[in-house]
Amino acid sequence: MQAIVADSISKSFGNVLAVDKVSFTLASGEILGLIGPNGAGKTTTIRMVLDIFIPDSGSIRVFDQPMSEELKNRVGYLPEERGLYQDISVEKCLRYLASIKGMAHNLIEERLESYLDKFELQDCRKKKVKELSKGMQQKAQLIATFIHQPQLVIVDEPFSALDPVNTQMVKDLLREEKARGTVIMLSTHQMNQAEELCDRILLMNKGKIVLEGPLDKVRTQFAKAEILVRSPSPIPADLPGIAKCLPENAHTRLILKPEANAKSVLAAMIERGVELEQFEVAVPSLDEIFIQVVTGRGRQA
Amino acid sequence: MKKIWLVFRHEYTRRVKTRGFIFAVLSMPLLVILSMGMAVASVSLQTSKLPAGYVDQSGVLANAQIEPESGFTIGRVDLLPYTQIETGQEALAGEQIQALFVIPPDYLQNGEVIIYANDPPGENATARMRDFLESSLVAGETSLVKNRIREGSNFTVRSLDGSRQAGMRDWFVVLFPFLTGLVFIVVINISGGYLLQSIVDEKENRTMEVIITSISPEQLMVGKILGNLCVGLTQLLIWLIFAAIGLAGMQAIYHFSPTPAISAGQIGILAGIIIPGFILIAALMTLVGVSVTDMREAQQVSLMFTLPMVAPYWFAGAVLQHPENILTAILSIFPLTAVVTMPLRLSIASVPLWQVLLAAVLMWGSAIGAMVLAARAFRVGMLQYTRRIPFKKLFKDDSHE
Repeated sequence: MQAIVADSISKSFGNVLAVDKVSFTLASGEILGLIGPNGAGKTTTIRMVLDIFIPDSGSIRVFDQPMSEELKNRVGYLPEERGLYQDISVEKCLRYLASIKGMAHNLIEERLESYLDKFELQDCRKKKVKELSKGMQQKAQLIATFIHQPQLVIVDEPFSALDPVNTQMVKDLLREEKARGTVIMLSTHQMNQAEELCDRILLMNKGKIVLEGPLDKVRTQFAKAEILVRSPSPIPADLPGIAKCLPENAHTRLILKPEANAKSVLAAMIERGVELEQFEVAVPSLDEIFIQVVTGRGRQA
Repeated sequence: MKKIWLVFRHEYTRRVKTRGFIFAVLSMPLLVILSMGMAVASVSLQTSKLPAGYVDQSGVLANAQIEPESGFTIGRVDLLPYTQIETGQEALAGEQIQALFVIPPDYLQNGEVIIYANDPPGENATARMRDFLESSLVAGETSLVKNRIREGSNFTVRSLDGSRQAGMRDWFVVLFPFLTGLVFIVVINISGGYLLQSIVDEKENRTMEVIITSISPEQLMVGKILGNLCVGLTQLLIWLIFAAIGLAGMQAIYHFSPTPAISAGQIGILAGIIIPGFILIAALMTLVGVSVTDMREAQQVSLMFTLPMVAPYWFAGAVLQHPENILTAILSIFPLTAVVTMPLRLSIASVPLWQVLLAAVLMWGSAIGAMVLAARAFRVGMLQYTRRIPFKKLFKDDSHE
């Protein structure tokens, strides 16, 4: 079953078209990365999925039905900007947010203990939310997102304000949730995190989807005829099939001629007795793909 | 419904358990008790406890017996009879008495009483003497006549059609709408303040975005309105309990007649106008809360409809003296002023039925309209963090935005 089916959804604010006929699906057991520059329409899309905004046109179905009160209990949401009551204690705040997700009192207490342990917030449970650091507040917000064990989770910039240790903890949590069968939609600017976690990406720009697909396929689609090599000796510039030889920090980037391929270049290097410590077909990072797609620029060769 | 209840409980408990609320609730009765205590202590300290003397030259008090005081006065005094003015003056000079009352021979003709005193005598002494004279004058009458003279007559004004009547001593008939209006203004200001704060805070700290992924904006709005309204009512209830205790204490001390009962008609009319009044103001507060960007602005804008609520008190004199004139009629029909004016007008005049019905219809219509508008504003404005919603947008756009 598809967790989300968005069919040609659009949303305008005044004269600004924030989302323009966007369609996508999110399958069970998947982590979908929603990426794009600021103002691309990511948050508006998320808010439409969550029924906070009603699309001007198009339709959204979650677990094969329109969003409803009952369905809201099966969805978890971590907004980009923290949304916790500042003037009450952490535990009171979390209890309330869990209760309006339809959880029974006993279950709330049980899960609260478990999550406070997991996120190392036991010592802060009686403190007012405003007394916590940004990172701690982010952890409390994550508990509020996951405490009712939702089937669909939408997380908007979950790593902001977290140190590397806590970032790793959140990544582990997202993987655990995925293994538990939770469907996750992850919106982030941090491409390395998306690369690490997502099965599929959806790149938005100016309200439209400009790139979509499994990460491997996207990379292959953007792969260039380039090879990264590391050698203790200089790379001969006149190797057959090499158009350019660009020394970089720890390696040299070889730009291939159109008729050449990695196999023929490797054979030529062995034949010429080049000592190799690394030979790797260059795969573009998500960062590079992002910049290329959004700005329309490729690598400055 | 369950989620409305959860929001209601959350809103209510997070307010009433705060130190600020407890302080606000207790400060008023404590202040009243303290003021009353200081007033009593001040009067008590300044009032002489010495007995008062009297010389009866008129013979009015010849067979009089000094009865114990029926009511409470601060600094109870005894009355001592003297046969000669000189003897009484000697006692006064020797500070055995605080004042000497001389009832001249022609007292029955002109009612004049002469008081000898070093300082002006206390109210306790003069009141005691006045009561003593009155009871002596009616000593030969039956107890029925004595009571009637003591309590006086009650004049009742009745309209020609018999639709209403009011006793001139029924002070409560006029006071009740005044008090009801004041109670309404107090409760709505307390509740409205909390409601405004709650909405503006949730917008500012972005909690609203999280909440509405669990419940609908309408459920959130209704839960908030009810929760904060109950906070105001709780505060009022506690004050009323203190007031009732104080009243009971005063009754026990001063022996005055019990509080008059409220008629079913009063309850019906007040409920018919006050309930939609609460809804109207709560909806307007919600509208303001979601339309603006911070608390200061919210308070400034909310003055636009809290000020008209107290306007009838500025015109109270005109309303009481001319309950039928055009200004009074307008004030009693216009929704924001009707809550105070219409009950007041009904208590002192025969208001045409069409005006009462028109006021009720307008009040309910405004309340429902304001709720619809507030719900729309809630959806439009709940995620507008940094800019105000233009008012015309509320009428144009019905989508979440």
